[in-house]
Amino acid sequence: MSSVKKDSLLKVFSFKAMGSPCKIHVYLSRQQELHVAQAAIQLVHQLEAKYSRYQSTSILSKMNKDGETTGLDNETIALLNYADIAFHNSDGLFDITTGVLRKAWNFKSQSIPTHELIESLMPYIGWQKIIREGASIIIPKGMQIDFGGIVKEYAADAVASYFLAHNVCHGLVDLGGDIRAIGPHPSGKPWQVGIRNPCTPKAAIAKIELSSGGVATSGNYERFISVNGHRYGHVLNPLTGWPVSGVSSVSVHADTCIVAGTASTIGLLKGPSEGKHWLNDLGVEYVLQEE
Amino acid sequence: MAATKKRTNPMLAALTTSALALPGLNVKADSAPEAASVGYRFYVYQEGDAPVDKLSSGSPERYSIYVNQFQLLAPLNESVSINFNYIQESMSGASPVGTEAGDGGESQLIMSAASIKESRRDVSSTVRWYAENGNLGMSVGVSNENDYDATYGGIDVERHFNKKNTSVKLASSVSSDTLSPTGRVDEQSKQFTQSKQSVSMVASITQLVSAQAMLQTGFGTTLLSGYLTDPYKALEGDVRPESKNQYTWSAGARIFFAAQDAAMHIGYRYYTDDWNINSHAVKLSWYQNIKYDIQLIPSLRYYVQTEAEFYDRYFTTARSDGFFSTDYRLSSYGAISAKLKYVQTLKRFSYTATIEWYDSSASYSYRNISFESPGLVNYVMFTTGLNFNF
Repeated sequence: MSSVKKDSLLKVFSFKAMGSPCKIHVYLSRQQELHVAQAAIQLVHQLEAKYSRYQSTSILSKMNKDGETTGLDNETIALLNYADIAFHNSDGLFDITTGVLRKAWNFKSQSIPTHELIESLMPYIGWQKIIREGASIIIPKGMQIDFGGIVKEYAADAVASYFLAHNVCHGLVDLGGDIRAIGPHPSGKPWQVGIRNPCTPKAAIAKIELSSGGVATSGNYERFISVNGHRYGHVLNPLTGWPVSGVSSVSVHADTCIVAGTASTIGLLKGPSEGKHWLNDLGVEYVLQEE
Repeated sequence: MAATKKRTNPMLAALTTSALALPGLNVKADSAPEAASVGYRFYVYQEGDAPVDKLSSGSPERYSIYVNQFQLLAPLNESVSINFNYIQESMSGASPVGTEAGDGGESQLIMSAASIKESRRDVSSTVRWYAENGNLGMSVGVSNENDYDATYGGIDVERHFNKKNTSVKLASSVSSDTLSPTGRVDEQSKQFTQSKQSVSMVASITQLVSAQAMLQTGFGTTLLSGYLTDPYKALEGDVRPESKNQYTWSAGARIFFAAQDAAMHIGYRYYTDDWNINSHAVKLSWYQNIKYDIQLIPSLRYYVQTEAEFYDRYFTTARSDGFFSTDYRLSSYGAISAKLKYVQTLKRFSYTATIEWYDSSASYSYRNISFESPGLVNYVMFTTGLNFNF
């Protein structure tokens, strides 16, 4: 099928998953495709159940609890490989072991932790300390891994791939701001994806026209601690244990949402000048907003 | 704010390559189910009573059938799934044995005594392999009743072409059955036992003609051999040939109506066999989506068949070929059925409920049938089922 007739129907499925409001906009032209959409939504719930750190039954929670796990499934191995590549291509800034710092940083409070507390946690951070061999992983005691910066983006890609594999070629997947185009509108027109302004989060400051690939945004503005006029954003540098500053958000457009998400996180962590430099080098379309 | 144009960068290439290795980004449409599911279905089938005024002997209370069906579908790995099916059926009531001449020459129905109580168990399993552009299934099963045992197996293969717009499916199955009717003995006073075999082949092709329409056509044949007479009807005089060649041709279309958020399925099936029975069946269904989790499917089916060469409502003289039957299923008649199905999909469950009314009569035939078999059945069937996905 090379084209979809004009009377194919745009359906919007709204649901909540991975702690975020999610929306799938998709043009369906056959009754059976409704089942494809249902299965695609199911896919998001399945990934959430598998990798959520809030669910004690998730594979991730078990890995963190047991320390040593053998017989990991292909998908988990592939996610760990991805995290490894991201770590090594970001000079250690993209690190899925950073979550331990949540013990020190509480962004619901209005106080910052002591240097001593941060320093006491630093030995438990560092992807290079995780031991991996084939389908086995050893997470040293006190350390934790967290797919928070990967799985939602991966789910957006997986949903789009699922639709494409079932010949549904026109739509947009939005999992809490992690966006992936299935394909343009049937007319060929791209989707208009708004980039929010940190100061007025409800208004878009820029629009990316999206026909393919994904857009992900890393923001430092949603949660922060303000002490003596200094703003401490929630994005933490795994090398220092302290929030990064200088950039309020980075949105990246890449071939996949997962790569867009990783690039936007690294861009944010690198700070305004090095971040821009790194993103320019990477060769992706991006919008970087300084503080 | 800054923006640049895309160019290749080793870091981006490394990230992208690694991302593309993720299984979620390599979905095959024909892939094994990702999670196991279990399903349970309960059917109630109730035939309408036989007409008392046309009853010559036996009970007018026809069959009630209760069916419990369990199904387990589990992925073994990314490309293989296994399915187990267990069916337990209990039947009670009387069934038509045949018809005979009444005092005034009208045909009268002979029913069995109402004491028939039977149960059937059926266990089957299918292993399915999924590849990039198709799938292959192999299945085996056994079915046991106190007077009937069947062992069956099959193989089917589906292949997609033309960017998955065309699919071809071939299936073949064999069955070997043993009949040992209760209370019947042979010349040596041993249990009367007979067997029959069948071989079936089906080929079908499905073509997507647009985003809204799909066409399908198929041809099938089943060759039966062995003891094809109904062993209970045989007591009252029922002798059928020891072979039967059946041929079917079907054609259908599915059309999606976006504005109504509904789809229409229309299908036709022609059947012919060398017992001289020809039949036509037309079915029309409307799949109405309500929101995205409910589907309501009303459907109507019309069926008409001609009688077997050796069928009559009663026989006063023997036929030269030695075959004869008064089984209503071999008579000329027409049938209308109406069905309403409700499907609701919840987060992990799906629920279905179906009600079907079936009415058969000589007057529903477009042909002029002079004598209707009083054995023709009417029934109501209610089905409810629950599916759970892990």
